Amino acid sequence: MNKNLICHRATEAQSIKQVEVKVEAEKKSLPLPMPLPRIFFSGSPCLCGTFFIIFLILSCLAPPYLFSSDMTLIASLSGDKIMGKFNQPSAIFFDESKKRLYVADTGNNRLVSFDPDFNFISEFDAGGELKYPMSAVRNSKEQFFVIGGPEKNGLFLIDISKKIFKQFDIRDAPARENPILPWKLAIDKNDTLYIIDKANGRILIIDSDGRYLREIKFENKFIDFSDVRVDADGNIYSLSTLERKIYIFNNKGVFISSFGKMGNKVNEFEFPVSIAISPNGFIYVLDQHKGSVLTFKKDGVFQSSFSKNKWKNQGELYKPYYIFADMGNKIYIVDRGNNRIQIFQGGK
Amino acid sequence: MRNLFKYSIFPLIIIGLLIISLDISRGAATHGKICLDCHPDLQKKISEEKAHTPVKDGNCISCHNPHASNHKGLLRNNEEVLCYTCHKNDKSGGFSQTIIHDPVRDGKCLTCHNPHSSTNDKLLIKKGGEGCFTCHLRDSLITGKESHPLVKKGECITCHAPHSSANEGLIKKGNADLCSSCHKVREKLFIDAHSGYPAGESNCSSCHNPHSSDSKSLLKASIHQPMLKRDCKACHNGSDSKNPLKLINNGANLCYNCHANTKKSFEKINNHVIGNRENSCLNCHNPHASDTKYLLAQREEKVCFKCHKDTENRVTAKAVIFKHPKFEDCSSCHTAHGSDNISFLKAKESESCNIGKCHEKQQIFSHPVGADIIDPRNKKEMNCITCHNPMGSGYKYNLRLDPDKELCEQCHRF
Repeated sequence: MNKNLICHRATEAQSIKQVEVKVEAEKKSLPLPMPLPRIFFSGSPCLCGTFFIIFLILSCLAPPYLFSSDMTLIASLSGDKIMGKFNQPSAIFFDESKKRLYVADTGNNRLVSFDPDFNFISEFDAGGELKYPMSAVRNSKEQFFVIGGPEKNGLFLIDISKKIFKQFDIRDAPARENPILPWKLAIDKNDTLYIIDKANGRILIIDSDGRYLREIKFENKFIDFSDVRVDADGNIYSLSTLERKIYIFNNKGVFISSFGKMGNKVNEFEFPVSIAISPNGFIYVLDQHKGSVLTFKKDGVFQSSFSKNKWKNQGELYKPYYIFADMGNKIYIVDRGNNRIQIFQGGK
Repeated sequence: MRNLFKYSIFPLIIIGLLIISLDISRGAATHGKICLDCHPDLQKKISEEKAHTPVKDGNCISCHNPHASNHKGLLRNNEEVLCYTCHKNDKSGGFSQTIIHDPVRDGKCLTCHNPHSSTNDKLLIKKGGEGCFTCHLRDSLITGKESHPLVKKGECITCHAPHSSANEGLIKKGNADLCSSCHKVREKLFIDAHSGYPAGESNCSSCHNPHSSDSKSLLKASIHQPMLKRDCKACHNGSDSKNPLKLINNGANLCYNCHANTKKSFEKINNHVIGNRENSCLNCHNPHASDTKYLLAQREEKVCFKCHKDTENRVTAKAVIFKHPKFEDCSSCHTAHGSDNISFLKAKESESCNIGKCHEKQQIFSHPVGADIIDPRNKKEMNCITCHNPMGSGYKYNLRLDPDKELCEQCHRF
């Protein structure tokens, strides 16, 4: 009887302690520890204290990926009666100078613009000539470069004020094995364009007049560059989906480093499809099959993963396709499986 | 004094160790004898010449715990751990080269080997290729009228490494090197048979099925038209040129010379043009011959999973107990070159499940779906894929969540 009573009190003490630990863990957003062994509570209070000290030390030593990332959903754009619904959107570009958000709404053959509060402004389809826009950027002269049609996978220049919509020729680019197939675009502060040539596994770099400057390509190595970004210093970041690797090059296009591997651990890639650079230099990698955003430092050290049930609720990602980060560290994600754009505020 | 120490103490230590080891082995043998009191059927095995060394020594306890165990057969550890404690490597190149035989990877050594004794070499359960044919059914390898003599004899390990290899198909050497160890590829007869081209320098299994075929020369079933007509010049330089195997055009343009219409099939929102090798078509196709449809380089699912390995891993995971019956027949739902539908689907997401009228009945009695039925979570029209994961899931009917718990509550909040 007495023994039972002791046991019962110990269990009670344990449950109280667990509640305290739970509250503490919730405050710190830490994973909950396992129920604590009874020995620490039924016996010596000294042992109990020791356990907490060990626990605190372990918490400090725990790798950073045990902690959730700081991303808050601030908007979800899935269309309305005025603008209609998206149909397989492919890319996003945020124009910092005009504070406008542009969405390449591929299946609807249009570019759609939004104000900084994410209200629909207008749509543009070049009088019906623009087909299947896959990627879009805007230069300092307010000209758009769009990968799309009339026939798919062409590179087009759009100057709305001058009412120009024309094919943009890449001049003097070295011929490779396959015809050029532009896939994704990025632009730097000097209006230099970075084009993924999907058919030849290379990044073409051209000036705003279409003159070839250089290319990034690994000879005799199969790399499927699938997205590209440039940071404020001109460093170039790319991604190989099939290798599950991030590649970093300096502003001369010289290879600096690469990192990443396939796997289902929190810091590994399943099917990475897009990349973005935060204003404070972190690399966001969008993993389509994980339905998550993985954050790394430039040296490849994993920071955190933002991931939910990868389905349909607000803030969840289902077959996401493209990621873009603006200078305010707003993270725009084309949530293609849900036909919507989700916008998160990243940590500052 | 120091020498005295050296010459007296060290021999004593060695003698002591010998006595201890003899005692241990005698002890183990004694254990073995005790085991035989109840397991007399093992007596015969112990006396067999090809018995496993611990069995010969009566050292049953090296693998078994005589009292209790968490493992079947009172084994000291899981099968996948136990064998590798002694057999850390093998003579044929180890257990951990790039390509690993499935049972080796899974630690299922007893699939092929008998742990006690065998009348066959290397403790194999069955002699030579007969063991291989247990899983790799003879009928699945010998599919044609003709077969390779080594296959007929079941001498699989002449070409294949049983545990692991650096080469696809667990072959012991690179393809051309392997074949040329028996076939005289530099002789005139051989070169003449290949229209004057030095085919022995290339990949033989590009055209030949190394196991069996209906053709005498073991050619694969589907042959690329120019090759069938022996018109090698359609793609290669002439056989009398300095570089006869060189191609006459670069990259995919070579294929588009004849397959111009195919180019259009890639001009889609989602396409599989993936370059950075000589010809992006060769990512999936074999330009000479194939035993599969569309001259695919391998079986369809192997071609797809080569890049979509994570999909294969996800769908074949133990937790995914309900799989789409056609999940290895990728092209029944997806298009290979390009598609304007999400996920390379052949039809729109809402129509995809009824391709070929596979799920015709479900179109009649299912949960309301279609343009007017809107998913409150993402404002998209509801369709089969809203609730079902077509590839597979851990819930019946490939449902995305438990239908008795949280699935319906996603939209119907009670």
